[in-house]
Amino acid sequence: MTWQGSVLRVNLTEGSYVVEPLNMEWANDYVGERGLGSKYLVESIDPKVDPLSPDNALIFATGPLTGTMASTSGRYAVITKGPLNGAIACSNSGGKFGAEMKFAGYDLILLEGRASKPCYLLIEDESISFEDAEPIWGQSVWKTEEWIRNQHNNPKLRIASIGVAGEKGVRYASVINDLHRAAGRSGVGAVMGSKNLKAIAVRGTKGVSVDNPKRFMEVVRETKALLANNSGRKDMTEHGTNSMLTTMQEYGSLPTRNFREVQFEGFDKVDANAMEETDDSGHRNLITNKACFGCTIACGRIAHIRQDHFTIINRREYWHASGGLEYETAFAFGPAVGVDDIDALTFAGYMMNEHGMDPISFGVTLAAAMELYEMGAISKDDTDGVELTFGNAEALTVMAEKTGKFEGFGQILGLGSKVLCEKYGHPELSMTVKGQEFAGYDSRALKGMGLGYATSNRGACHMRHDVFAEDYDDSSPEGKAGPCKDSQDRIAAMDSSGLCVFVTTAWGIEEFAVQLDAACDGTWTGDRLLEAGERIWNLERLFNLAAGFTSADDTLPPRLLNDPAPTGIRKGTLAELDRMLPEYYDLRGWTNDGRPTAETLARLGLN
Amino acid sequence: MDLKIKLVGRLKEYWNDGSSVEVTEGATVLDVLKQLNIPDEEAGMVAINDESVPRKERGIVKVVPGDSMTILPMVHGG
Ligand code: SF4
Repeated sequence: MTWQGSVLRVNLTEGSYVVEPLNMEWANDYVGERGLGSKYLVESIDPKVDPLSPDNALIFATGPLTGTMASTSGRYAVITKGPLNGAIACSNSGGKFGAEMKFAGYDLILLEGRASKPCYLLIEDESISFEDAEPIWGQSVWKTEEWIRNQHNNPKLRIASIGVAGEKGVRYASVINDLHRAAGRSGVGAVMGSKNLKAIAVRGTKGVSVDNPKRFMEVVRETKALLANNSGRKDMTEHGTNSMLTTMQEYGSLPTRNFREVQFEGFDKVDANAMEETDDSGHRNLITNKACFGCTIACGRIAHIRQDHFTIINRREYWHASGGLEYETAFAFGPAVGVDDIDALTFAGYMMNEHGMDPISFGVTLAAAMELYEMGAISKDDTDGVELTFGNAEALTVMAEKTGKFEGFGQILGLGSKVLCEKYGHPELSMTVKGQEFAGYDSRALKGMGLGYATSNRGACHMRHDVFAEDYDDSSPEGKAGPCKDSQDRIAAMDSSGLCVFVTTAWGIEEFAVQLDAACDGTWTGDRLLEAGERIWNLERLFNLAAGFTSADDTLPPRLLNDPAPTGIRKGTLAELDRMLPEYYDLRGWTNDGRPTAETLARLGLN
Repeated sequence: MDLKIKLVGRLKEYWNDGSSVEVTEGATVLDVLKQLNIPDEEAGMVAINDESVPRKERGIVKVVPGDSMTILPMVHGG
């Protein structure tokens, strides 16, 4: 307990499945979700496989706390070898799908091979069937969810599916569950599409049981109280993650127009306040907030678009409320591309959820395309006649839809910023690490963030480390490597628990440990979790090294290394990665070329 | 003396009484935070005239007339 003790291993090529006992030795070492899913991946595939071939595996993994009464316990992760960059990919999501999968009795669903024709997997506790997805192949995520529920006359089915982007291999296609929660990054949806798997629909009735119910209730009550009284939690509940936008603007770390600038003059038209303001016509972008399963934060936003806005004026199908802007979508469709039309941003967000794509990678790829367009490297002949200038709201919304539907220039944008910039002769304009696009934080003002980006195992990612406190403290690269490494290990463990890392506004590793200790067999301490986190980080690193990555990939684009931040509190500074990376390798117990030493592997039980 | 202040995001909930505050001569950054009712740990970053003040120096660095102070909330994740 609280693992269900079962792995559903599915062979899509043969249309067969087997329920295996969970490897508890691995669960003890890798916890669950990100860590355990990564262990199963490493044991299942050759790191050199083509990510879109049948030889890749796709793993849906819950954590030990998924589905329990702990706050934010709805998380699950999708783990695979990612098609955006060939690195190990792990994207987690909230909503209700993860808990439902656990209630059906499975810790992991491991999918291998490729179905001969489009199918979806229907799971109702022990009953598992392969269903025909031909009628919904080519349909959006939203239509797919509705169709499957109607098909089985079961509104309680929880569904994780892909849209056209995933079917067509958009390299940053997402898996979407519950209409607008996304396992967003690294192209996990494209791997699902390559397997001819449209969806997994699940209904579970088994619940979960914990090791020490009385103790668990006590610690859950205590940790929930900590969250309830925390001002960061309150801010996320009331204003969502987009309250970050104003902070990054004031600091000078809000990447603008493909990271040429670090502050955006139109920030106050797309920030959390703008979402909450009522305009002259009585329209307010934000309708309400929304929580994932078991969450007492409820950072999700539900919004709607003005009906007279150019994006939907003749499209009643978009007049409904749907998932609204979060910080990363606001950054990627706003400052990154210079657009300050909140309804256009909201529409682009709808496109991401409807067709199943990562907003960060799409927005940052579009930003690179806009820079290429403005410098004359591409023209209207390439862009289907669309004027791809920074600030053009129509270019944003048209390209979001084209990419989601894999049409015209959207097919090029769907390959990601790295491929796009190489194709048009300017690789230096790709704002990526290991081929994955940056999130909304500039590495010049946030040095530790830059080191975290450069060393992140899935490519640029802001959710793999937390060095804000040290970055705020001074602009020096000194003293950033330790907190970066420590937070990477800590978050790897937290990401493996089944809870959402947004709780870190109030909780440290000990709050995770006490809940795991009460819920699970064995003794779980903060130290044990940190060691598991370090093991997970090194396991991911070993996968990438075997896949062909080297220390040369632990780097940042030249713009961040050579062009000083033009404005902001850190005006004039550079990312200074070379002053942090050697210390980071040393602290990790890695060689100068970024390989874990034999001692490190032995210490972590990885040899 | 008058100190110009700019509070960002949720910090406005602690103090929403204009863009300047009267502080005593010789007040440190920590004194100003106390006066604004902002807990030290809530202030992610304090900058005086766009220069950040390290957390460990908040009790030492003094504000002087004409200074302008920006305070950002502590943040995690994204
Ligand atoms: S904090 Fe937000 S993303 Fe995390 S579980 Fe809660 S609603 Fe979902």
